[in-house]
Amino acid sequence: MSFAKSMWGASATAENNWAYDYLPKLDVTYDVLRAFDLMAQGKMTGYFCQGFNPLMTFPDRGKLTKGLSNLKFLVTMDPLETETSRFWENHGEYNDVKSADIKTEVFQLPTSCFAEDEGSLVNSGRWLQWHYPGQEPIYESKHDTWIMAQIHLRLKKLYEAEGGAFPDPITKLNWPYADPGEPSPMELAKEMNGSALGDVFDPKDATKVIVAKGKQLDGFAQLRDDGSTTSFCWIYAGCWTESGNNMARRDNTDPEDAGLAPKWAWAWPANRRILYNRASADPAGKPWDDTRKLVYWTGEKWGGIDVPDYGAAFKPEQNVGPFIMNPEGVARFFSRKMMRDGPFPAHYEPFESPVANAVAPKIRGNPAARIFKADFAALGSSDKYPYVATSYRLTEHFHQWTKHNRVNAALQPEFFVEISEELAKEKGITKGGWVRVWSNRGSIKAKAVVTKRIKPMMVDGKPTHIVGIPQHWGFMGAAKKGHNPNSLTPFVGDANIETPEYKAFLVNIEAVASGPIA
Amino acid sequence: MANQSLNLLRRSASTDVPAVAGGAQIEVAKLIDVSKCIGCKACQAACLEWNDLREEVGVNTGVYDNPHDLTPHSWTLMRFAEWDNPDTGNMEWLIRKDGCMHCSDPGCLKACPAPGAIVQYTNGIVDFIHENCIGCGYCLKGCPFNIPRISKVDHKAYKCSLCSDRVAVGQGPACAKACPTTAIMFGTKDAMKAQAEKRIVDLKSRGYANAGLYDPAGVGGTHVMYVLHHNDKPEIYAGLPHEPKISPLVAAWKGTGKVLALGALAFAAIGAFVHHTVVGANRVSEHDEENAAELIEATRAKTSGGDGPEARV
Ligand code: SF4
Repeated sequence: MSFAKSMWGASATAENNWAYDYLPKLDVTYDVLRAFDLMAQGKMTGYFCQGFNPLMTFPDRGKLTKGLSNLKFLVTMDPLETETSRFWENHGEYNDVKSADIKTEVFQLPTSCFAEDEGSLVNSGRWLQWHYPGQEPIYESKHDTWIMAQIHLRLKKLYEAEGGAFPDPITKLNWPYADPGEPSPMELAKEMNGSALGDVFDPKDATKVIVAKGKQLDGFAQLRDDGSTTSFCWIYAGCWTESGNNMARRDNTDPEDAGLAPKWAWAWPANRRILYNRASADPAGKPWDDTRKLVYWTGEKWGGIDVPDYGAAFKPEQNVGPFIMNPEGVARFFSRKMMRDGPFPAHYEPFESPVANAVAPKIRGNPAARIFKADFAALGSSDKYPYVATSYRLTEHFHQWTKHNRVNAALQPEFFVEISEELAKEKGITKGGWVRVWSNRGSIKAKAVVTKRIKPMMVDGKPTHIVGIPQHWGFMGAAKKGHNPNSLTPFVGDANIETPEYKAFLVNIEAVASGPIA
Repeated sequence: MANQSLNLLRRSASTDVPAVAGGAQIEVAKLIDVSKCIGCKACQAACLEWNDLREEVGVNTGVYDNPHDLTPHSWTLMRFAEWDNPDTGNMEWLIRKDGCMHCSDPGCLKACPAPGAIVQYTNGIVDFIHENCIGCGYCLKGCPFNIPRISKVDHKAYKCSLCSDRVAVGQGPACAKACPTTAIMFGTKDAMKAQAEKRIVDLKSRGYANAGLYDPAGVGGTHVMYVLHHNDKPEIYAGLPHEPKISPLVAAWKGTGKVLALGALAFAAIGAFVHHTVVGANRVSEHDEENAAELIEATRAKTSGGDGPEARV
């Protein structure tokens, strides 16, 4: 309800079921593989691509190019000239498309880069750390917030003028910003936290106001389901309270010398640094390790440097387990229903593998993984593609960003693949020579790095060679133009979250006389 | 010009280094722990950024080393070696950060005929003072580690300065700051030796019986030192010299050092003599020799006034 109030404000009421029908509902998951499959089929005709470069980072480039070419419009928002935004441009063998045949209208919107933005970055320890811009956006680039606000305002105007099947979710969107054309990071962060729309009362004493109308909430415990509070996302409640921007705190005091500074930035939820921290104390509530005291039973309640992930007044003798989200109160070694191929993990071979599954030899790959029909037909087998390829990153580059930077580009300038000395000998490939590598989906050319670091492996009694393909080059930027492993990778989504199967696929390799022609 | 915050110990082709004002500075050192390096090249990037240098975007030649050698822009370079250890049967990926070693007894400085083009500060840093450099390339001849590189653009010699500008204001070198594994450390030479000692004990306990500190005595010790897992075989680290020494030719030249005061003409003569004896690797042409003589004349004329900063050093 607090989320609905944040989204649609006064238009989310008890009468309209708190605008529940304004929210789009998913029939299936719209992960990137599904999106590009729909494009390739002509069933998705417009695409907004904000801060990523699918043409280089998703599998089976041939299919991606086909999908993008089928679009009516493509909007890219990026600080860099991505390959995706130039998918229609011919770059010889590096991007061999017929530009005249592509009708997609491309809108390339230059954005600021992270160092030009104010806002918070969230790390994997769940800390929201506020940062300030190092400089203003350069040239014509704009903050993403400006671009998104402008798109919204223009769409809203069109809906207001022309109506449409269901304009309300757009026309009634809550838009309470001082400058509607560019919401500020501060306004957005405060909105994420949430505030009291009316007085918020103590649940134990209905006469006692705990948060007065208009004030920022202190945490998610103050959220109400009667429309009197707003919060864009409950886990962030507490990040920007009446005491200010907690994400901007920079007090690195570590009171127990336990490697935990509770006043450095802010962690979701509730500034709790360690989840299930009750497990750091023994059943009597005494820390297992005196040098790492997180929470402990004081005799009356749970105290300590961390926020207890536990009922503050649960007495040790009540025997409430520390894993409060599980009914049995203890940790689990397996997942009951969260994983499609659970409860216990089993090993299946990749969809393209030189050997059959050990557990179910007649089935290809993991039976719970998702692969579309046409992509299944595009799989190759080891009679034609005898080598196992894998893709990875190098220390000198970050994705496809740093190839735009002259310094990083000089440190690792040109696309290559890595093979063992044994495979090089077998195929007559020389160190620094050109090779062609191809799968059932595409073909690339690369320089060959012949290395002792890769050795043939014995798989099912057979020596199996590996081709390592780093993933940093493309046809834009400061580095040498190059190919990329995703011309070859299969369009398979893993069993649980549809992550593409980049790490193992089948290829063939041969020495060639020269590199691609640009 | 030489860094005004650091005291001079030595100056190329000069007999007139003034007495150190303000007392001697403590010797510093950079310790490169090869056993902790992951070859990420963050140090190379930091060097280019701090010194505002831009390397050419080159090509891949079948190895990770890029650029393929030190250049006037790349003052440091990761050299990757894949070594089969005959004792264990394991392949070891040895990654050495190459660059100036800042020798206590710098062969470059001894070989340099241009007054004040190479200086050594009392903290041990050997610095190239480009405005005094005549581009003759003798420093390269004098260097037992093959470090300096001559720019084709301005015909001056370039190499790592150990970030003398940063050190002068109490900072460590940019590469040490950038290194994500603290494989590069910076401090007093004594502290770095003590740090190395701890690492060597650790490496020995992990089976590297010949782990040791590379601080070669042949050049009087260095202000860039390596912790090597195989200190008995420095050459496996992309050709790190076993017992580096200054070429005897440079030493012979230094024997005639007293004549330096005789002026430019004598310089040209000595230059020509050295050129003859080391010809082959030396790319200095007769034309360059003449240039060198002229430049020295000009420099002498400029600094003889006595009150400019150049004259002070
Ligand atoms: S930054 Fe450190 S770890 Fe990375 S290459 Fe340089 S020395 Fe090695």
